[in-house]
Amino acid sequence: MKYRFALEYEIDTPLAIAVAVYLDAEHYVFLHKKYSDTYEVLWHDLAARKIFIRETWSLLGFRLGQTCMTEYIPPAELRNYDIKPHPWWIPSIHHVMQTTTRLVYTEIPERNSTLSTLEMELDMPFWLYPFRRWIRKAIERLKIEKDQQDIDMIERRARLFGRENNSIYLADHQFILHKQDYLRHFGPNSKRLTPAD
Amino acid sequence: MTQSPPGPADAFYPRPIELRDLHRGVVQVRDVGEGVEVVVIPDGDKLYVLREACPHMGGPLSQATYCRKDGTLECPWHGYLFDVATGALRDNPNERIMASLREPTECFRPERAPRYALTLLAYTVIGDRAYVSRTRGRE
Ligand code: FES
Ligand SMILES: [Fe+2]
Repeated sequence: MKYRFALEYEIDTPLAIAVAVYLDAEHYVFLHKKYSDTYEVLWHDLAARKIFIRETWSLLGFRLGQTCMTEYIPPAELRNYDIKPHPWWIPSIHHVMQTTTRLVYTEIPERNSTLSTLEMELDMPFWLYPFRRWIRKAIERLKIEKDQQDIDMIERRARLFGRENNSIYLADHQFILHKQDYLRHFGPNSKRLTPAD
Repeated sequence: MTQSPPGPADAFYPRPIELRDLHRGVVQVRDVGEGVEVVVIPDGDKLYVLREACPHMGGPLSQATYCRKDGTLECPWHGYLFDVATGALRDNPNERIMASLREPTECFRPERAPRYALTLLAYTVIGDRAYVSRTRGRE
């Protein structure tokens, strides 16, 4: 049975920064180490902008994790799907529930900020369905907590370097995922997504 | 009587670090006045005083992890590892974590990475206080 919901809020940062922070994979297992502290690339097809990853975390002395397909759809959409528990024998909700997430960032031109919209689709067996709101709450809480870490980083960088400064992400030595595509849309020679009046 | 540091009065930040309040081997942050916070790490007979922002992207080094054994400081944002004695970047662990994705391209030139280094601040100890110099570099 499918259960869909969306989580939407405004992030007080330009779209170019919101996307850059997501693609700045170097922070995943450090800033977010509380949630997962290993990240492995199992397979990738950069032309298709797909990276299949495994991330793990420790819980009560056990190392748990999941594999997941991640996909970037420029300029500002990110999808996660095919989420499977790792190792396969660990008890996990992902054995019985298929999760697909679609995160879309949209520019709010009046404030030069970003609307973050996370659409989730949970495909679950009927016996899990009564617990869907509880599952939703848990997913939302996790998303908000992790986003807060990113927002703290964004705010501190805005204070230090300026709110619209994405130069470090553009620097040729700096690694970010799908950089060529990012530059096409948010680099110095990119077209504005919202034409200026 | 309060002693003041040698040299011109404005060579140092106005508020000294009280050495007696510091804990060994722990990353601490101190306000040296004028809205400036510095990271202070006392270890053995050494005292490291550095700028609170990571040279990579400005991460909060007051939340960094100090390894006494290796003398390194790990930034909480991207995990870059710095040598606290010299300030030099010792390791970017992402080079291994993301190795398969880090193929050089025309817009990603890892060989051009700058020599990131912590900004170590000079200071002068007088009695139980360390006065932090406004100029860079350790004394
Ligand atoms: S900001 Fe410190 S490692 Fe990136
Ligand atoms: Fe993040």
